[in-house]
Amino acid sequence: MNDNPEIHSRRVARLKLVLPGLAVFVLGLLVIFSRSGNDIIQLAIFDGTDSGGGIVLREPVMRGTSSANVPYEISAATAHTQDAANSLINLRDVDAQFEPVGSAPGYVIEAKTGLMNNETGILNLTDGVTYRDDNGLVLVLVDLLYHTSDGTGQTEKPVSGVAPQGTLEASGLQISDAPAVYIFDRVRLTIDPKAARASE
Amino acid sequence: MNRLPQPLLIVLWIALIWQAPAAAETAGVFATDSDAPINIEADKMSLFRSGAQAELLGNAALAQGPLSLTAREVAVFYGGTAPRRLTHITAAEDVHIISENGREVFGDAAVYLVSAEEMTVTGNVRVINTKDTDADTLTGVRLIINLRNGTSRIFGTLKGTKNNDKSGRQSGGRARIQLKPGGAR
Repeated sequence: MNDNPEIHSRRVARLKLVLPGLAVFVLGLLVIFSRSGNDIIQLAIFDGTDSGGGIVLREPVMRGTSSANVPYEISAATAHTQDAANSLINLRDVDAQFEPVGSAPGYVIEAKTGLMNNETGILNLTDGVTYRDDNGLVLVLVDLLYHTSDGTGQTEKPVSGVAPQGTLEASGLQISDAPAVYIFDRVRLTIDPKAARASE
Repeated sequence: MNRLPQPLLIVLWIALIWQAPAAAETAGVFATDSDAPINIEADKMSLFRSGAQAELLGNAALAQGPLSLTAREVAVFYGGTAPRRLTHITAAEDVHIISENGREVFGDAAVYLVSAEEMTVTGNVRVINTKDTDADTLTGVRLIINLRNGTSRIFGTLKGTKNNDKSGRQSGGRARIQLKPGGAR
């Protein structure tokens, strides 16, 4: 224990400033992520606030479970809150992984940029979007509106990609969870019969 | 030219029918290319997220080299575990196959076994040759096209008529092919 009353007094004065500040910071984090239901955000590094008051997170990870009981994990290079309520988060280099329990195939959605709405659970991916599943389906999309809460999604822009032993092109896509199907509009599926025979 | 006596014509006619194979007859040679890419188009495709099957509806059309097929519905089936592999393609309702050499097939359903390079058309099968209007139209219940060499066999043939007979009527009975005397050109 330090018996110097002057030093003690200065420490107390500093703590009076630091502790409320820390409390406000922790409260801010709780407000941001308490709106995502059972999602859990793990923060690797916190960068601080920008000039507009938004919070910038580096390498955030969000884990949750959809209404269809599909566990998912969404990570990004950075997350930047956009509004006062901190419900809109701009994401960069998004990597969303979905791993259904049982025999259903897992799938991964990647994008260069996206906007996560924590209130609705909607992930609006707008640049460099790729969708891959364990069955060998790889789709390149212009954009994708994906509902993390129920595992559905859609785009009305052109889709191209790789299907088992072939390729596909479509003018739009809907991802449905019940029934669990991808619905392609105005589709053209090209199959390589030699590859199909070779896979026998 | 002397005409054959009527009794001899009848005997010859019966002999022709009697000698026709009960199981199958050739239905001509189709233009095919089993190595060419298979293009399937439709207004809508539902691909099961399990990866086992894709259903194509609305103006469904399949094309492979010189052979094309249209139907109300086309389905693509995949087998095995991830990564899946294509096993077969089916077509249902109003199946119409066109080969570039003039052979056309109408049927109720078709199955394309990709690995076996074989397409089977079933139902009320009718084979015509659009490049020879006087050629025989074959009808049956099953047609198998070997996509490797284009040869075909038709089974359960019910009736053979001229192409210009548009009735398309069928009669029951054992497999047979009926040739009309004087019909050959």
